[in-house]
Amino acid sequence: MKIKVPKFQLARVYSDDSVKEAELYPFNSLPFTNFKTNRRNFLKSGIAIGTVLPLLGLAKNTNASKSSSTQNASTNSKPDTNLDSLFAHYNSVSSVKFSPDGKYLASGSYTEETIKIWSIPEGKLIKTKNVYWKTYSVNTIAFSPGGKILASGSHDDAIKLWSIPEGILLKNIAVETPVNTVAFSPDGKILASACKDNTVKLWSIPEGILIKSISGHYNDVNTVAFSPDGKILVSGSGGNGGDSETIKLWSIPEGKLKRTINGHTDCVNTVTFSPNGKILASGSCSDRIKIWSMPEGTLMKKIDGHTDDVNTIAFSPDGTILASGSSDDTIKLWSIPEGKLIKTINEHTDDIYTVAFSPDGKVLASGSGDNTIKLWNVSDGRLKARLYDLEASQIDLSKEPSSVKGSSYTFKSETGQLVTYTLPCGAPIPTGATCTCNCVPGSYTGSSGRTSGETYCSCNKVCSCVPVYY
Amino acid sequence: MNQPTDTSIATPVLSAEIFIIPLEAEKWIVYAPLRMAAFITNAATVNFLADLQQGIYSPDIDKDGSLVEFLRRLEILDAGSEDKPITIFGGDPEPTDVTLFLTTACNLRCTYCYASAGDTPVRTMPLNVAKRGLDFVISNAVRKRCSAIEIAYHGGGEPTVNWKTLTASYDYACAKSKPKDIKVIASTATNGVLTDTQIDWIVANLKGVSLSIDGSPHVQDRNRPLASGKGSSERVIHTLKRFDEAGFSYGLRVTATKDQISELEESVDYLCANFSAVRIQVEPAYQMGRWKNAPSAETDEFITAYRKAQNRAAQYDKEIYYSAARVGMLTNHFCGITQDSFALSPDGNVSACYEVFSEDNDWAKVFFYGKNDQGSDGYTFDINKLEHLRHQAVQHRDYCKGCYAKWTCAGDCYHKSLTVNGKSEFQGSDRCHITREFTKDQILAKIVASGGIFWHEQQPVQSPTASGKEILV
Repeated sequence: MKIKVPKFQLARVYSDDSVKEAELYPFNSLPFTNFKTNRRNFLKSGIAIGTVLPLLGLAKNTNASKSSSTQNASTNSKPDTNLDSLFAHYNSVSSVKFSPDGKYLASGSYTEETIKIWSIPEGKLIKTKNVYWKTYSVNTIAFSPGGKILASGSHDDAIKLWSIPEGILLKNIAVETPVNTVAFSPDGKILASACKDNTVKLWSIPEGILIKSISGHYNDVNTVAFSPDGKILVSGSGGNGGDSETIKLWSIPEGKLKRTINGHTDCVNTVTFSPNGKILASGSCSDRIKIWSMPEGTLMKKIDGHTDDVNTIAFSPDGTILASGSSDDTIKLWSIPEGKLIKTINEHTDDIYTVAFSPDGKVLASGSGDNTIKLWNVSDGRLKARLYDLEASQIDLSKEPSSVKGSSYTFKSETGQLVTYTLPCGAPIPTGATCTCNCVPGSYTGSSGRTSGETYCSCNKVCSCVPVYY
Repeated sequence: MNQPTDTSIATPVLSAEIFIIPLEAEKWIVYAPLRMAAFITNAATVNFLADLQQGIYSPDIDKDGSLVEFLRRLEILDAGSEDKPITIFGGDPEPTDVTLFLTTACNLRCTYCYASAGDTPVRTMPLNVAKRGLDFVISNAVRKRCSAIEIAYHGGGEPTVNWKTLTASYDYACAKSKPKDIKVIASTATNGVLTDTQIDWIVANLKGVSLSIDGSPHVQDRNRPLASGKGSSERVIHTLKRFDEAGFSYGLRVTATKDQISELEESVDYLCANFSAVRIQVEPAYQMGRWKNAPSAETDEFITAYRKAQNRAAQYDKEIYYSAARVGMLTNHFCGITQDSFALSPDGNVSACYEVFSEDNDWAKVFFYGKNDQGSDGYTFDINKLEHLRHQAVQHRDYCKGCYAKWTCAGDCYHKSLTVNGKSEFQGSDRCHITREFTKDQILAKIVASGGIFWHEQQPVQSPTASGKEILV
């Protein structure tokens, strides 16, 4: 066999001489995941990841501030155009959950293979985990009561357990059917999954061993929730025909049917217990929310107000507010037990798939089909922050110089070490690095005619950048 | 090309061995392995550097001097001469590490076994052969004032099949070393088909094991059956679970045959999901032994599958690796054959290569370089053979001179190159292509990890290896 002798030594290479100035090209994704990249993508992922709070501060006349004065459901203004292109995920946000200590928010996305973990209150994206090697929906996520484990359930017939905040995969549980919802028992020893094969399955944690597969529904099980004392599991079902309207209560750990509630006229999308366990709320495809007394299962109240499917509901930690999210693109806050509308938040531009209260009850997070995650002040319904990942966003930094300024930051190495490097003028700066001379966003025009508003070293002589050591 | 006209401007001097790796249209990686530096740039920069190499300075593309300053920071310009990572061994070997080829017998019948274990006459190392080798390395350790000796159990069979010699030799080494205040560090290669008693002993005594497993149970059972023909997965999984329970350190090695390449990603996923090993070696099957006439797995399909598997492993915060791609490690030695590796066959003869474990191997005359010295407790060495082996270090390989992987791959496996090229000068192999692709991946990963623009690290200080007399060049 004769194989070509490698010749990679330094030698002149052919060029059409269209670019006579030296240029460096950023490379920000590994070759075995996405070989090709470009300057724009690099800058998106590298320079600004976090909340858009600085932007909100600058946009006093935006709808963000308009919404702050909104007291009822009538406000229908659209978000500020500067913010329109800031997304948290590439696709619809299916699930958001606060960690029990309130330090993290986890999010999952439909038709996207990632789970993201955000620090709270900074809103900084600290971890993006590729969950699957194919594109499957992350339908549901849940924190364990201790906050050390995040469970995710997906359309690829699996539940995965992740360590928090590291995001290391601890266990891959083969379920053999798509998983619609997962919920931890209050003691963290059992994970319940609502499955597309009409079953509720109970798994031991952390082993991930199937304890019991509970049959009884005649259609997809869409949702499950444990009672606060962990003795009851509630499940809601429905889909294409079958017993699409039932809610069932099961004893735990036996998995025996205690009660069937036939009260909805369409599929049950979401169920949740009040913190004291005395009320069960359910949301359905019939636009309606219902409140049930526990353990009797008698109907206490019908709550009407949404004009499309109710996809998600959540009790505030003190049990006095119920938040609901709907395919009518709105979030509504209801007083409990009265069921009166407190506030309508109308600033998402697509279905609301998920809402979650922070443990202190002061913040409500929402995830939507518009690919955004928003944090709201519960007290007045004002937009508090919008989490975003520029990698998933369409933002053009050249048109958003203020966002670059607002998002620039400096890290310190663990050892305190700072090493000074010098980049050629016009070079993009490394991820997380801070230029110590005169990097000015939006000011550099290279010899190739490239006019850019990205963060470049626009210096006349040399530009020293301080790299970041994690 | 413009010559500098302003004599007040000092012409920068190239101070690094530079390789240019095409990336995509009009983009190249500039890679300075000995400076541990790389970045992606255009033709203007490449040609600027190439001209500098010829003593031609073209300041017109760098009017503000920032490019030169950047290159200086990366030690590519004006940083003096590079320290080449070359160590040369000379004189009689004085190893403090020994590899014992305990047996050619095996309890598995792997389809691709390079040693054809089970098809060849069984040869087993008696304890006295092991003792002689251990006495030799311990005496060398005393003379060289080394604080430890290392024992590796290996061979053309399953080392644990010769359990008696394995355990007795370890006990002997410990007993002999302890009065001299020398530690014994021992490890073994294994196929993982072990009894609970063996597992307990390994956990209690060995520093680590390298365990071969090919992935999910159906792949393992197909490729690595027991001698009885039954699948081995159940036994091997039991061993790994026991290791994990004990918190024992072990590495996994996956061999990909051509027909298994399509399942590599799934196999790596299985191993990552179920066992605690954080690094998994993945190699294409060697066309040797029982697999001599099988289709080659050293293909582009393997590269593609490896990258997918790498991505899967990363999801578990684990990694897979391929032996010849190791950016960040600078060396002129691929393995021990150029460093006086001291491995004993069951008959007590000295081989430099793990794969050449028997005197009847096709390349035994190349790799066996020593034997018992009948007149003493030690060994006599054929210095000419040893010098030939030492000469296989990468700085002597013409084929490798223009390869950007040369200071990390260091010429790859000499035994495999002989198998491919025969006795003639090394002319490369399909493995070279794989090595370069994975090396390129690693360079890019370094750039990504460093912020996405360039990579530069300080070169680590060279530390001599334990084996032989070594001359740092």
